[in-house]
Amino acid sequence: MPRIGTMALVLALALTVQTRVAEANQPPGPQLLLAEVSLLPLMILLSLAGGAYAVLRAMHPGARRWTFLRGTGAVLAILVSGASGGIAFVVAAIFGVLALQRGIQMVRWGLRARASIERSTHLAVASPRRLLPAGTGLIALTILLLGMVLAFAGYWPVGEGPRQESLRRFVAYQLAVAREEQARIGRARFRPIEADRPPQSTCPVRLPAGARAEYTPDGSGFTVLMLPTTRFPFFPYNYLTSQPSYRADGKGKIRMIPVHDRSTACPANAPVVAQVSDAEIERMQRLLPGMGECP
Amino acid sequence: MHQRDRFGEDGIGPSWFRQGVPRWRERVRGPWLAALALLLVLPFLAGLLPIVRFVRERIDITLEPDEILVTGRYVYRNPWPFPVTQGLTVPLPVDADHPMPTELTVTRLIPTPVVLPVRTLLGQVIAEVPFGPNEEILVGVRYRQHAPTREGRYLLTTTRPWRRPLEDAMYTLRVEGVGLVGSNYALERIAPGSWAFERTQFMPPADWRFAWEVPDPSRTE
Repeated sequence: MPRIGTMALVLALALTVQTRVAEANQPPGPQLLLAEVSLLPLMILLSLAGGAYAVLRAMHPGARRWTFLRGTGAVLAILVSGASGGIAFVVAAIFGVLALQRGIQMVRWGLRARASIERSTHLAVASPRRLLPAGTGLIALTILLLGMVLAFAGYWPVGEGPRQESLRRFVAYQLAVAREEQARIGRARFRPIEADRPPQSTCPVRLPAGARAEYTPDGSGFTVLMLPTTRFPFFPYNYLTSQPSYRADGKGKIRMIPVHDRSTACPANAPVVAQVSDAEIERMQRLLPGMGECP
Repeated sequence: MHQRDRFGEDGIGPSWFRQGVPRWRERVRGPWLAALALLLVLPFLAGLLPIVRFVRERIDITLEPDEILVTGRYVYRNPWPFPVTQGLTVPLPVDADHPMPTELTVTRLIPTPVVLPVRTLLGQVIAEVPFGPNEEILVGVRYRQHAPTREGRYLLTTTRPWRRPLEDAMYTLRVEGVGLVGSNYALERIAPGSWAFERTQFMPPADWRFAWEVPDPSRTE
């Protein structure tokens, strides 16, 4: 293997796997593109490691597997796919199919070379010890990368910011109501509002989507649990991402933990990420008289 | 001694050496060419180098007793005559005293207003912004952060990965019912309760840190 080529490949792969997504304000590039650009170096490296190019040359002595045009075409495809997620998805799928095909081919060559004593001409240079692990590795890694492309293709949680604002407004409303009740009857009491309001209700305050409220029987306390509403990528890719799960209480504290599925509720001892302030409660108290009837 | 080289040809050493003429095409062809070509574009695609340029920013921060409200406007320019999609991470200063911000929204404001979806990947908040050829885009980011210790931080040094200084940058601080105690960047008072600092050709040497206090009502004259 020529040394400069080896170095180029190692460097290319290192650049791919060391994508610094974690650095703030660092433009990391679309995720689909990352999986896509990883596929080609991976295929080249594992083909070289498995000795697939030697077998291909023996199969087609006159043919050039990689020409300048092919190389340029691959780079152009990657560049063009950078323009949109949709194109990236298609290009990644094509690269994935090519890599899978190569992996399967390598495993088949490896198995044939291992099984037969009288090898066919093109398998004379084949080494099952190299072809089998490299081919299997290529298949496994390609499936992992393609899975990532599929899992994240349409995964864009929407509306989290407005949902959180809505939760905060709900808590501020309840605290304002409790203060009014405190002044009126001498005891703080919250007003139960359910997720599904009666059709005739004019109450402008509502629970945000995905939230459910639990009230103490005497109305002196409440807890709101707000779970993620956007579907997560399928397992195991859901562990690469997270969405917030919230808990709010009658003290105006809003807590949050990042979760990896839509059923995990925020525990009572989670970190406080927001506290409804006195100023907000007072503003809400001023608005109460003009609000519609809430149950 | 007669031996076969790796291309199945007779002779000692590689074919281009034996023939006395450096057949660079022979050497450059194949996977190496593809690998080298990928090498050229990978730093951009992998995010080590930005595709678009970060030109200007304006940051407005409002200080409340236990919270800060951050509104940022960022101008990016695509210098290329073809469309690109740029991934951006939103820098959020999270530590023991500053929990994860809430109510985060990322919006493309110019040329046409549209809310940009964000997703968290490996703990980082990421948005993708599509650019037309040579297009300049204004992106707005807004979030709230609980700050019970009454000190805050805005990440400025995250401009460095863009590798160019900001042409223009303006930072304002507004107080609501609190008093400003300090800032590591010298501030100029621009209005009652508002301070600011401005820079051109700015490559921030440090993050912006500021502190505030809630006036004691009993000490009010």
